[in-house]
Amino acid sequence: MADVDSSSGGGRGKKGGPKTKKKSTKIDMTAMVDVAFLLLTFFVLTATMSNNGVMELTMPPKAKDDIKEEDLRVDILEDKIMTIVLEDDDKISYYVGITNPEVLTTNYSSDGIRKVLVGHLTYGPRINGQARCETGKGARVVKNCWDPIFVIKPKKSSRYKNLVDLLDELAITEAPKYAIDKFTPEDSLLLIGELEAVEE
Amino acid sequence: MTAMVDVAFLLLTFFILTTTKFREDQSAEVDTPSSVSSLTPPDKGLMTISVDNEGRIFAGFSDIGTREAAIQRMISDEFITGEISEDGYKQFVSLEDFGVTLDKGEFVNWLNLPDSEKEEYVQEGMTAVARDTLTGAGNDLKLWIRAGRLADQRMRFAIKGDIDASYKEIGDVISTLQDWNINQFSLITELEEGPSAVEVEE
Repeated sequence: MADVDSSSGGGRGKKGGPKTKKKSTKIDMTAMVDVAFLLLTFFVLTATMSNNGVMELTMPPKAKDDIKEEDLRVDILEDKIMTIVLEDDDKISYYVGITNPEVLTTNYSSDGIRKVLVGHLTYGPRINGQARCETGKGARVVKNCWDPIFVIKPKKSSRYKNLVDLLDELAITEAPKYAIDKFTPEDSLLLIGELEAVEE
Repeated sequence: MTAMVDVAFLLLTFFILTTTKFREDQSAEVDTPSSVSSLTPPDKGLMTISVDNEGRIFAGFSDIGTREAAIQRMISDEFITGEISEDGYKQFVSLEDFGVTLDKGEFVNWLNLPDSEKEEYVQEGMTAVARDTLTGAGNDLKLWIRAGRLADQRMRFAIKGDIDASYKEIGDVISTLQDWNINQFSLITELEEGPSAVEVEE
């Protein structure tokens, strides 16, 4: 294997012999083995790289004929709610509360939306000294705890990547409660000061 | 050295076969966004709804048994009318996903095409909203979800969206799932090294 074929010039050593030249059956396989290893390396690397992951998403139930919207309604302190609108051109608008909120914009960098999320998650403990609500199994019920809620409002034109990026940021910052809601004409009134027709 | 090269070729064969995974024909070409979520999708009992960068919607069942049961259900409930050839039926069962509307017998026409024409056929995607807004009829995806669920009660659902898909179609798919009270589903993403990979609890 991979030997240099040295027998091709056989007979040079023995002068004048009547023997017929014996050709070697060995083939030079160096090149083929090289290619094989190259392919092997390529497949080993790509095999480990193509990994799929999944993100679990739970949506609030839809209001239907037998379930009225009023029945799904829960009273929540409006300070707890941060609404995040996915704008075009990889921008984000966000505001806290419902009554005359101040609309701010940011982007998807770790200095952008992540700081905003962390800021809102720690707002209660920081400003009012509240404890954060416990979640998961065996969580204790603490009175007057801080459990912020994030409402994501993607526009029809929003990129899917941006939605996943935001859900990812919420998972990274361990936000306990978030939901996806519809972008309504009222939202556009708040954001750009005019009622924008939202196509159905 | 012969032994080593033999082993190398064995490994090469193994990796070639596993990366292609004896892949079934896939119609949707989807470049998924990345996330830090370290959960992996289940291999079985999954219905994957793909949305490509042009907003075309495809659906597919992971289990071959479910594919057969689903198309039989669609035929017996007369959502698919017309005769499907044996070849077309076999082809459907072997497909990982498909995106052909049930409107105007298009689905049956597509399955009955000869193999040579089938390769050139461009799947336009199925509808995820009602074609007829008055009666609410004509939502292909809604019917396939129903058929899949009746075939496999414990079916789970995953949305595989392209990076450049717009939320309009994704929203339609989510809305259709919710019409069947499916409020929990997965988004298929590509694994990415994150600042802190958080296990999202089921």
